[in-house]
Amino acid sequence: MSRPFYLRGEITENKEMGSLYHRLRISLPQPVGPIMPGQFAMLSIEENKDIILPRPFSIHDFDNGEDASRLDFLFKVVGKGTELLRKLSVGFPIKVLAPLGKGFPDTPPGYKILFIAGGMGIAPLFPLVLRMRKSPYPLHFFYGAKSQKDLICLPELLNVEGITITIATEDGTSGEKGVVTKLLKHDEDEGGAKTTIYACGPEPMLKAVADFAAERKMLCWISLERLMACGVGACLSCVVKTKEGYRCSCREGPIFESKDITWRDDAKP
Amino acid sequence: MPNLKVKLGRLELQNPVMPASGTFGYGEEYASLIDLNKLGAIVTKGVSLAPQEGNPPPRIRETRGGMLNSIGLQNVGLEAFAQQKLPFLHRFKVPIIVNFFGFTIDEYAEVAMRLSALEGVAALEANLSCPNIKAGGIYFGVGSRSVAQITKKLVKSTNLAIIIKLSSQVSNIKEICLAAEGEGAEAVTLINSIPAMAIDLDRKRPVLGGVTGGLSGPAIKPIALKAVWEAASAVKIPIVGVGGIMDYRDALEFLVAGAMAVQVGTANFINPTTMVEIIDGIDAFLTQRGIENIREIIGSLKL
Repeated sequence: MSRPFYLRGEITENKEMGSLYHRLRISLPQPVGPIMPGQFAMLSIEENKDIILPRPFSIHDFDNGEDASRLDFLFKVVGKGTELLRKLSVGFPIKVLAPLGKGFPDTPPGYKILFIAGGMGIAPLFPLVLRMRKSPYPLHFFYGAKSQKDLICLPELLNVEGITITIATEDGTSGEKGVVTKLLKHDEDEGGAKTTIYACGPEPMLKAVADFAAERKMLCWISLERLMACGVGACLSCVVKTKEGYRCSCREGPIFESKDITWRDDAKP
Repeated sequence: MPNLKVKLGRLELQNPVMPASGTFGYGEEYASLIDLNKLGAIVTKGVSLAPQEGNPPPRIRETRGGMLNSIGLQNVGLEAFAQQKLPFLHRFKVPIIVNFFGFTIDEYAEVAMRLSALEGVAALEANLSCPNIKAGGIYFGVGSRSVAQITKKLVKSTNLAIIIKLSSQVSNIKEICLAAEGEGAEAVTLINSIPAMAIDLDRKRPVLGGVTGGLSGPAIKPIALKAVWEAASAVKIPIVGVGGIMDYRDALEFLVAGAMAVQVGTANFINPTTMVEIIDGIDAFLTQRGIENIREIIGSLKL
């Protein structure tokens, strides 16, 4: 695991991508790489007296390799913290603790790869697709959201060569109508056990993906989002229930193998 | 360069700034982010005889000016602490204060005894005030008789300095601190996080998995300052002040109120370099005012 840096970065872009979605680009005074897709950062705004804790965000895009000093984040305005981020203009300073957590592990040779993203779950999966696009094995991306306007990375995804994309929206405005996990059923026998799934999205979706993978003995990695305070495994706030007890999402995750997770009735581990 | 050295009983510190237990893990989590050798001491996450699973999530919620936590003293247990966590800290020259707790008085004493047998432990901080466990913890810390009883037993169980960590949620903080002092505690830490809760109105449910939690952060600083000031007027043993310290000025206010040292908790989450900034800030403050020894500041409150 790479060691994290705590740096004062500068916002170089804060681009609106549909009414509630933004892409934040941060330039850092020094490289923090290497970064693995699936890793995250804690972002905080100095001198802000109202929101005190930093907020965790998946690193969506970055300069490659050890030289990574430019980080991109996707966020949806859902509360006070993200509302504050929305208003930040270019040139504004921002504190960055990164990279944090473990990234998505590689897939064994010869495995077919399924990506399953729900809504903002696209954020960590998009850099993973870019990393794996040259894979000689089939790549299939299932992308689901509430509505067409919530498929925020679809244009970028369509630009990636060599992947099959299947879309689902709950209101039917794009692709199949319904939840994305329903579409998985049509695909079940193509790969069998020799399939790796990478998934990120709402937890009921991840639970459905975990069940799907378990039934077919597929290797399945999921990214679990949690409220957290420190980001480095000290405060023990962000725990996920696993078969071996509580594990910190920040340090032992946020990527977990789905078979290790103990789900509750409301599909939260 | 002003002299920042202070003493907690037998324990000598190069400066008065240390982390609050539970906000700094076992030190290693922050070792790549700050120079641990700059701290006055390192205070570890509370350890108990057996490993503790902790409370169900969600365990955290930010509230206005603070945060609620309901961790429930999750820890690896004494055995794993000794084998996997403590050895990492041997490479640092600052004193290691191990925070601990039990569910009975005998268990407190056993943990204290076993911790004192370990290499590289400088002092023990007994948590008599966790708001997040149902048995033990806070119940021992609210009455002067039980504080006296447990302190007496702890002092007999170890050769190390015993620091008693207390709650502000008591009817008479002076009496309780006097009880700890009377039985041989070498310092008291004031205060632990304050029992509190948050409610999700739409779901009509508590926000925390543990229903209630402990409030920390800037919101509790005035409460902590008052507790430290009151205690300082009653006891001669040093007081470690903790509660909502965000910067060097907050830290100095605690010293003025009578604290010999301070602990920094929630602020570590916001800025992992806070403690080093506080130490540098105190140094600069004293230098600017021509104060040669930090002891001149301690307890200097004018009424």
